Amino acid sequence: MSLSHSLSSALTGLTASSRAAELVSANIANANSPGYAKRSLVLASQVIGTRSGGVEVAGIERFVNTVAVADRRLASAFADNASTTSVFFKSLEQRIGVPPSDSSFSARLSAFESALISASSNPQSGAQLDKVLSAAGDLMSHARSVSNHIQNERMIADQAIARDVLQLNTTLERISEINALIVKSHGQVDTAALQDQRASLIEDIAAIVPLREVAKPRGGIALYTTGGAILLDGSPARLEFTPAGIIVPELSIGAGTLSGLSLNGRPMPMTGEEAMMAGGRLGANFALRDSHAPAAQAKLDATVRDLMQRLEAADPTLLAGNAGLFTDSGQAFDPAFETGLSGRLALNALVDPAQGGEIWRLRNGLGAAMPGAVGDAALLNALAVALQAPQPTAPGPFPAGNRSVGQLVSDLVSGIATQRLSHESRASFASSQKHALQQIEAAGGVNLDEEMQKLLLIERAYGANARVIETVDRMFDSLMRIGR
Amino acid sequence: MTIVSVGDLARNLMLQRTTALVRRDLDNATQAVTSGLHPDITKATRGDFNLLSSIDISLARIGSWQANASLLQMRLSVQQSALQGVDSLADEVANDLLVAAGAHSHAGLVAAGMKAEAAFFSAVNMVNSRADGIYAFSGQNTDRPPLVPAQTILAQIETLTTGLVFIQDIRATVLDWFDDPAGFAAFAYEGGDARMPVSISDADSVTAGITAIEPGLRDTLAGLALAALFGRGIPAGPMETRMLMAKATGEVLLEAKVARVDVAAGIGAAENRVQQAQTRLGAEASGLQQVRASVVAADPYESALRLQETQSRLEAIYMVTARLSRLSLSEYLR
Repeated sequence: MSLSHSLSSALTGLTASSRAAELVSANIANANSPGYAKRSLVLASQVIGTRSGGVEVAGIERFVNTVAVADRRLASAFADNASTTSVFFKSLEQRIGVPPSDSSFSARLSAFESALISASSNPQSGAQLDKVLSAAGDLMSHARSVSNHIQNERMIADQAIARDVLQLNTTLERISEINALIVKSHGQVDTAALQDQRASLIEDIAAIVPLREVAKPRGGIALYTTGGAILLDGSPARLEFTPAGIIVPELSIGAGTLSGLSLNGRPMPMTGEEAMMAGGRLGANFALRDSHAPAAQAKLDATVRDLMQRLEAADPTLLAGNAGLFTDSGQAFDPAFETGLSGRLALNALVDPAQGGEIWRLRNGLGAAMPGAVGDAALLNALAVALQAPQPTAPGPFPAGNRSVGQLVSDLVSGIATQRLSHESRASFASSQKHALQQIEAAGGVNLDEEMQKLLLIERAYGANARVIETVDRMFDSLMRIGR
Repeated sequence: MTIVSVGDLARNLMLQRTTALVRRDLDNATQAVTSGLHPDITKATRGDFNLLSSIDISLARIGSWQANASLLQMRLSVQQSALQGVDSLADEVANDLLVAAGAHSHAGLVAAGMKAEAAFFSAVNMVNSRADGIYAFSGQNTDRPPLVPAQTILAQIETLTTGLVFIQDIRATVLDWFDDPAGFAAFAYEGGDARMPVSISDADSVTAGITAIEPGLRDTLAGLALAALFGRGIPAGPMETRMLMAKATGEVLLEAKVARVDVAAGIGAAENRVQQAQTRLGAEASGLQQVRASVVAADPYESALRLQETQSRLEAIYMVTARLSRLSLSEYLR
């Protein structure tokens, strides 16, 4: 009976229209949700037997630019990696200070040096000696604060690793649950919302490690790192890491005093060929904690060592093994304890009135038993000369060569500044790459004008289908009237 | 042809990012204009701070050297004027003694003798003078006057010459005592070793190192001490003896003149070197400051231009944002 057939066709049209309106409204509502994939209705004509029977909702299509998404995830891991490193070097550079600033390391050193030169012309002046002492104190506290800053950055990196590992573990578990749900309900119910949720969870961990998503049957996925570690394949991987709490310069991953990362009980190296988890924020924090920060500390320690040894050698009243103006918590420099030296730097108590010392020792020698002549400038001259003289740098983080203390400090600062610049340009490249890919991804998102146009079409189709029903109804009525 | 719609979020992202970038440029440009320095010195030096920090260290050193030079100049001029004072006293006393001896005048000899004793006291006081809290001729013991009081020195000489009657003996005893390290230097000198040279540039150092036992000064003091002895009536005797003593003393003072002038010339040369160093340091400092400015200072014209350009870019972005946000189909579907 073709009249009732028309009626049911029109009904399918109404249903399709309202379903389409539902999707349009969902699209509009989510126009600004990042990671939301635009949906549209896939329609097909319904066939009953051999005749067409209206319209059928064949499915819901999620528009995802998978290539852009995958690239953007990698870019965001790279961007976080680069920016974490660049932020470290930037803050280190600020803390150590670059030359024009009065609070830079080299400005403190040159203040100390010129205080010595001034005092040598006027050694009897207590004010000049006080100036030397306070300049030395400034230099000391600057070195200490830079050292503390470096260790603090290591601690922050350690905590960040712990946080990221926790987030990876919990997020992988949830992705695994949702993944299982999608596989189970594949082909039975609409899984678009679940897929959105899964995608947004993957988004949460994409910056931590560089991810590769691999499609599995029935809408499932597996997750790998680009280095090849399996994070999710059926069941989620379990990462383990123990944060250290307090970090001092002597702790290192090489000595086993700092924790490494392990995946399902297998240790994961973070450097070299087998670094399967490197490349993201996690990798950057490991690199910071285990290589960038210790390298900066070693250079700082070598600089402080040079300064200490020169001052020890310049004072003829000191016996071998006696500490000079700067001490390692009261002791003379000991090559066995060079690591972390700058953090323990102190002024010699013999000379510091605040620690019960006598300031005349600055002029007459730290080992002098009695105050000598008040106009004796020999030691002050010798100290000033010792700072300026080019001397071979002790073997260590600096290339061999003759340097004055000033040159050594400027090598230290230049090294940090150069690294800051190169990491900053890497970070800015990574960030623009990430933004460009984000833009490409967002280009496939909801366009409100397009949705409005669709809505107009839907409105018209709905009106037309309703009119068909009304007309068929009238036709039925006409038939009924014949029967009367 | 497939029509690809562009998501609204893409445009927003693009606008947000451009706005952020331009705002950062604006911040940098503002900083450059207001501080006159490069907003990022590290970028300006490409991370190489060797030049900048060596300039800064040199400038700090030059500042100290300049201060040292002014201090030295003051010390040297204090020494020079004390020395001049002693020199004119010695000249005057020598003149008076020789004139009185030549004139055979008893009154003249008495007057010259009284003046000579007072002159020795003044000379010792001049050598013991203090400026800027330090004793100029004390060497390293700047906190102590270099010489014991004139009275004490004279008393010692009197004791030494007691019983001597011949003028040659008295003269030789006094002069020997002044020359003997165990004599005058040990008895009267309370200062220390000569002061160390003070550096006034990386190659040059100058000392205001003359002490009260410097031979030029010591010989003059010996002559004045001899004159003071004469003033006290030693050796006692007839007019003839007094005349010979006056003559001998005057000659000693005249002989010491050469050494006095040498010392004064030495100080003058040192003063000259300090002055030259000051000129050189001033020139060096201004040269270094120019190089430093060329590294850290931002070109004011360029920064102002950049500020203006960034401002107009930001305004354009605001305008485009406003226009685009009004372009919406739903506005027209009423």
